[in-house]
Amino acid sequence: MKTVYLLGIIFLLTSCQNDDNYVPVIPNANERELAGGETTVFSSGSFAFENPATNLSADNLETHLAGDAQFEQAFVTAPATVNPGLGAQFNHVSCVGCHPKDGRAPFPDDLNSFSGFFLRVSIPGTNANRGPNPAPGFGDQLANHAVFGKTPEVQFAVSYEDIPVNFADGTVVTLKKPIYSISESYIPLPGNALFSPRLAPPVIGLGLLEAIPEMDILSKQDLDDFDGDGISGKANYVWDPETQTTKLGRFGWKASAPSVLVQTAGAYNNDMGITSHLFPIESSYGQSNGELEQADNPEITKQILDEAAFYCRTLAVPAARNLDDEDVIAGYQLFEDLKCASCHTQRHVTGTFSGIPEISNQTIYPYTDMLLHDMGEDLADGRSDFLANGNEWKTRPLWGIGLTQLVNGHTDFLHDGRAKSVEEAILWHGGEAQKSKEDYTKLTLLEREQLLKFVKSI
Amino acid sequence: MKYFFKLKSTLIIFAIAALTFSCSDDNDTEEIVEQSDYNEHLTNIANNVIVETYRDLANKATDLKNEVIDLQGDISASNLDNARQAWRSTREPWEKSEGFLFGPVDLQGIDPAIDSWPVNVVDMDNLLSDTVNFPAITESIIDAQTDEAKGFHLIEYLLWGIDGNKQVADLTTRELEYLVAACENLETKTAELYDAWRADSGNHVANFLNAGASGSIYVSQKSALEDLVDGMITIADEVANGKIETPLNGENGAGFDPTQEESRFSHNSKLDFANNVRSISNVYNGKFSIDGKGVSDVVAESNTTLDGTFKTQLVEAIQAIEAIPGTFTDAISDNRTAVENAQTKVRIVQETLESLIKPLIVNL
Repeated sequence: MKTVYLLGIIFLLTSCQNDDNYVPVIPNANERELAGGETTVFSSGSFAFENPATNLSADNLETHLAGDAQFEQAFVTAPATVNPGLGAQFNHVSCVGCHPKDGRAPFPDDLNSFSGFFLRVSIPGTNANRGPNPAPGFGDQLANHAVFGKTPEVQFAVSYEDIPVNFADGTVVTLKKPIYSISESYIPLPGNALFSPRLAPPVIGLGLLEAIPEMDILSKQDLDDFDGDGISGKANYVWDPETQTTKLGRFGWKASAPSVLVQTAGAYNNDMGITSHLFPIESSYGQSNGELEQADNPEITKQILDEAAFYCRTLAVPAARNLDDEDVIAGYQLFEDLKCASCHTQRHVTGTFSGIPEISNQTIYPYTDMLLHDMGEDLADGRSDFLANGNEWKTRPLWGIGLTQLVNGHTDFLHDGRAKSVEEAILWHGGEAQKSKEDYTKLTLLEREQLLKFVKSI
Repeated sequence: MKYFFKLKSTLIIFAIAALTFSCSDDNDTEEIVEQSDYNEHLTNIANNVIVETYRDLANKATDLKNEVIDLQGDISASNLDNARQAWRSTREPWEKSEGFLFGPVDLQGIDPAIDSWPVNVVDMDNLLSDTVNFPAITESIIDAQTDEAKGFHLIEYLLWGIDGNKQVADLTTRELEYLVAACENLETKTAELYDAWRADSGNHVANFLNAGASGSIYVSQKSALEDLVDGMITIADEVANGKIETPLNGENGAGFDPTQEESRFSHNSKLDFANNVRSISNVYNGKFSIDGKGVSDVVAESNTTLDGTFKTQLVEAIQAIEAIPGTFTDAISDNRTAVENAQTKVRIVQETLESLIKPLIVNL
């Protein structure tokens, strides 16, 4: 093959007739291809989200691999020799259960099967830390499973409402808006309960996002839309149970977790019913159907929690692909023209992250500003979460999105998988992104395909 | 090493990209870097290794269910022995499929549903005792349980008992009901898996046969080959650094821990590990139901020495696992050197795949 490459290069050199013609390129394509900086892995198959950052030291690789094992552990009902403590109520039994192949969960055919889907719940008002006010008897997350002999908190149900979107060229795409309800509950839910659906996202590159300097994120805030572009951007400030202080929110669909560690500990506690030093009380403690046993808490050691968080912090981001493709280059220009990048901030440089030099000082292309934006009524959950109001969601990172079909076998996007393709995800944008969305519907079919090709290449 | 190779490939791509952009007409570029044709390799591995392994698995799972039904009808030592043998026979193609844990086995949640670990003994016992709410234990009741209350290891637990010495007299009627239902569930899941792949049903196999053509999830044949190599790496890593390492040295090096052994009730672990390496060997050599083209032929095209070395490493890994004396359970305390040797040989397989074969495929 080397010979072929050489011949190819020579051929190209001699085939150039005229170097004056302008050929568009994507700026910083070389840097942009290495989406996760030096952590980037050149992997574009089914296993593309499962690789350790390629620059890990031997010691950190060992911790990563220990975390990998923790991420896969299935918990069982106590007492047990191995992995006891599941439930009593839960949504799933392992991290990987909701984040298959470290990627995105599919929207389940059956909402009450074991899946990466659940509803958060609260009642109006806030808790002592200004977070969501838990629903009495249910907490802040609804569990649709329980260990044998216990009753799940609820069973979920969904129906759909059609939302047709008309394109300038006459194309019509019909979005399906899910409307969730509770078909069974072990005690009646409060009449004023607020729900917010969630579908588990990929866990690649999280350490890099955590290492983006706070000042860089805050500098992109424009609370009163001073620059008049219709886009504000707001930082969430949330409670950190580790430091017992208020911190910038970075993780979760509404940026309500300050760190990968807290997000991970929260998932153990709420998703699996596993207690840790950060969340030492069972999510169902005190409920009539819940777990009364407190003697075995915390059910995982600090070391296990740290390893699982370290794993998520050091999963490599796959390299961007096909950035030299003509359509991808045209799509990049449309991404700029439609102002997608106003919120999907392309480039960041990470700061110093204590203990993990490999994710420190990296130039990365996650395509997120890490801020909250009003996304319009159709996406709104009507449930506030610290400073995020019922219309606001955090800008999602887009890196790796084009590999979702291959890695996870589906393209169910957004916080509850309601978008069935990248195009539908764009069409669900409203609020601050209304103009960009409308401009998308005015593109020609070729232009839309080019924009989608660019998004899928990053 | 891994990074070095990948970086190099990037540089080559950029060199070509840069040259491309400087030309007024770049229509010829794609032809120049066009790959060799690996359709024959991919077709053979998919049809004759992957689909055939799953066919074998589905058939053996049916045999297992039938043996367990026989045991339920006639509770005898010989029928218990037959059921145990049938479990081992079913286990074999499953372990030989763990070198390709991608596609439907993963996307449809079949891997956890049939091979989850550890067993949720508390839930199982509670279901066994609850004759009020569950007067009969049926397949649909088992299907609704968490994955840890069904599948290979729960069936293994019921057939052998926690210490591996269950007597036929210990089997209760309820346990036999649970066994039959769990085996029916295993049969259903393995049939789903085979159906998802085969051409006249779910046809996942077409993604390999048509890799690089429209309609395939693989944008190129190289991308399909990459999945095959990643699959091999994944199981080599799992055997060396999970299945052997955790019982041998405990979680976080806490000391040997037999409770972490995967197939400890049946003492089938050595065979499990050897069959895992055989799954790598089958994909690499393109050899299962017939001997056709495999990844080996792709590697040999550019590096016959590497191909020969790797084949030897595969044989040595299997031999080292089989050379562990007695049961794996005993060996982690009594013959640690033999276990460590087997672990080393599997790590060599992993290392060669990661640092030499994967880069070769990625740079095709």
